Amino acid sequence: MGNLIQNEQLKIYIRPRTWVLVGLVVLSLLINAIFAAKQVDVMPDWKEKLTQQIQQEQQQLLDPSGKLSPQKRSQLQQRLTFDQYRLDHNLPPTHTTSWLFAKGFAGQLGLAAIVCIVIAGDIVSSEFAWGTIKLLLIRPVTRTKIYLSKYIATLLFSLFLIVLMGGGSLLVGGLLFGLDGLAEPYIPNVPLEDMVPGTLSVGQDLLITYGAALLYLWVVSTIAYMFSAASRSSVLAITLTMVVTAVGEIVAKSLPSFSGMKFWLFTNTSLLQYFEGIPPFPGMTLGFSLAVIAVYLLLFHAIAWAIFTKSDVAA
Amino acid sequence: MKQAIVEIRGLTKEIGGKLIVEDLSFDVREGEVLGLLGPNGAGKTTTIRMIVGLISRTAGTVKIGGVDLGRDFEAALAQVGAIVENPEMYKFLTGWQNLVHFARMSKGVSEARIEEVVRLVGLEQRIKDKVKTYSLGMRQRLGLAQALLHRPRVLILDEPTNGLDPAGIRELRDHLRRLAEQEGIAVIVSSHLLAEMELMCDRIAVMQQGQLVSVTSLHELVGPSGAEQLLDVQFEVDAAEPARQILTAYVGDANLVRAVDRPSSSGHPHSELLTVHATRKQIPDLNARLVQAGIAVYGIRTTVKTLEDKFLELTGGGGIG
Repeated sequence: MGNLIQNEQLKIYIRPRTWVLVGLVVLSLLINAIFAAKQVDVMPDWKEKLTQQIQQEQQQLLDPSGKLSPQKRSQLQQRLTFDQYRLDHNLPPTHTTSWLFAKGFAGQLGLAAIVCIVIAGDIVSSEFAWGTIKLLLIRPVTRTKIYLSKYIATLLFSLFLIVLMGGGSLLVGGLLFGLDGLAEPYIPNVPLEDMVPGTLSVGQDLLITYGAALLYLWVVSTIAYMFSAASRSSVLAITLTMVVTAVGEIVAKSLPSFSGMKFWLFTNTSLLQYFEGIPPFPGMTLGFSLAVIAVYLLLFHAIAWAIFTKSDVAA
Repeated sequence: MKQAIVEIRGLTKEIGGKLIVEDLSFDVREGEVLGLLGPNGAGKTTTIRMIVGLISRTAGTVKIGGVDLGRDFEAALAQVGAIVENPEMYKFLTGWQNLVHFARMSKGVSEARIEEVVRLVGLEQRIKDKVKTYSLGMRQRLGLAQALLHRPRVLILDEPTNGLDPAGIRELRDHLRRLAEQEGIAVIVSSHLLAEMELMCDRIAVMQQGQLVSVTSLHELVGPSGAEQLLDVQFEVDAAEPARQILTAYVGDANLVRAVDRPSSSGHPHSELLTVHATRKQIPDLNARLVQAGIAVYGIRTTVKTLEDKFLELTGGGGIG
């Protein structure tokens, strides 16, 4: 298997096309850096403003008219706690640091997702287009091993891209803003209900952010890989994956009232919602989402593997 | 009799209710070049693709070196090297990188072995160049190299001469003969080119409409005939009618094949070409009788049946079924 994966890696990284795509991601990183460098850093009067905000929040919590729902009250209370923590520990809300820059860059996954879709959507079907699939399948290696080695190579490519994005943005961010502050506590703008300020460092949060991003890339890569192995056409695989992903995301956001949607793949793919957001449906947990994703991916593989290993290579 | 390396029994492929290959059985022995011959659409390529596992078998077994392909694909294919149609390699890799890539997919192919194979096919000068700069002949050599890397006991080539120039064909033929004779490799070659097969193969399996019409050694199929074998004997004489009477009186009316009038041309008198079926032994007798009757005999020619004649005879001259 090691040899087979090595072969697939060779075929990915030796092609100029791969580096053009990776170059686009690097270019977007540099553009981000230019914008970030131009941004106004810390407002000098942030302490006064934050103090004002805290006073406002305290006023609201007193709730003279009694209209505040228990849910709203707890959210307000939570925000107050975090704002107070920020003030006490001298952490200005808008200051740009290398980690914040890196975190912001992880939010721009669209381009990386497209790059992964192109690589994964092409990796099986291109062998058919080149005619090399015949020489590949008449080796003393089962088709299942070929299927797995190519899949692992696509997952490793996503990993490479995420490491490049994380490492590159930390490096660029470090050059612009300095590297200190990775041990600072992580203070989200919208804190989770049960979060205690100071328990999560920004370094840890960054790992979680990039981990979630990697998982997202693996999901879209798997879809593209499935279409590539099943359709034997790169164009079809890449187009279908983009359509399926776009429609899937839209459906996930457009049906918020139907609780069955929690079993929809794209309702579960943004894992960051368990760390710094609110899951769309009650009862959704990190474990639940991971399980849903696993079931979907296994289903995709069952279909694609069956087609790839069973069908005739006649052309 | 040498050992059979490839054993094919009852090989059948059905697609959409149509039998593409029907109940094929044959052996290929070590050191033997077997030609799979037939018109386009006869099922040659399907047969070859079933042997290497590119196409699934509807029924039947393929054994390579005693290993059933359906039972242990890896052990069976470890003994097979193949080029299926054009040897399409990775154009963005060099020849050497291509070979390393395929070497990694078999067990125990050392760098020294890759170098050896490169020398064998004569690609030393260009092996470090990208395949996209190769000519078709060079790609064919590289294709042969990838098929030989893991020292296969069976070499399978599907239409290997497609697109090659005469020099390339000759070179490939010499390679195959040498591999079969010196290394004892069993070779299966498919082609629709008769002349090719005649020069390359020890035995010919003729296919038509998915079925095996015959498997015969080239020797039996077209080889030199025995004394009792009927040959086509052509007499060139000056008087057709008396000659015909003499000939048919000897060999019988049924054995007169044709009579062709040959008009006179500059320096060449008018003559008749009479062709009869006769054995080699009968030729001097026939000649003596013609001469005794005062007929001028300008020439006697025997023609051996070519593979093409035999092939048309076997397949009934039919087109694509």
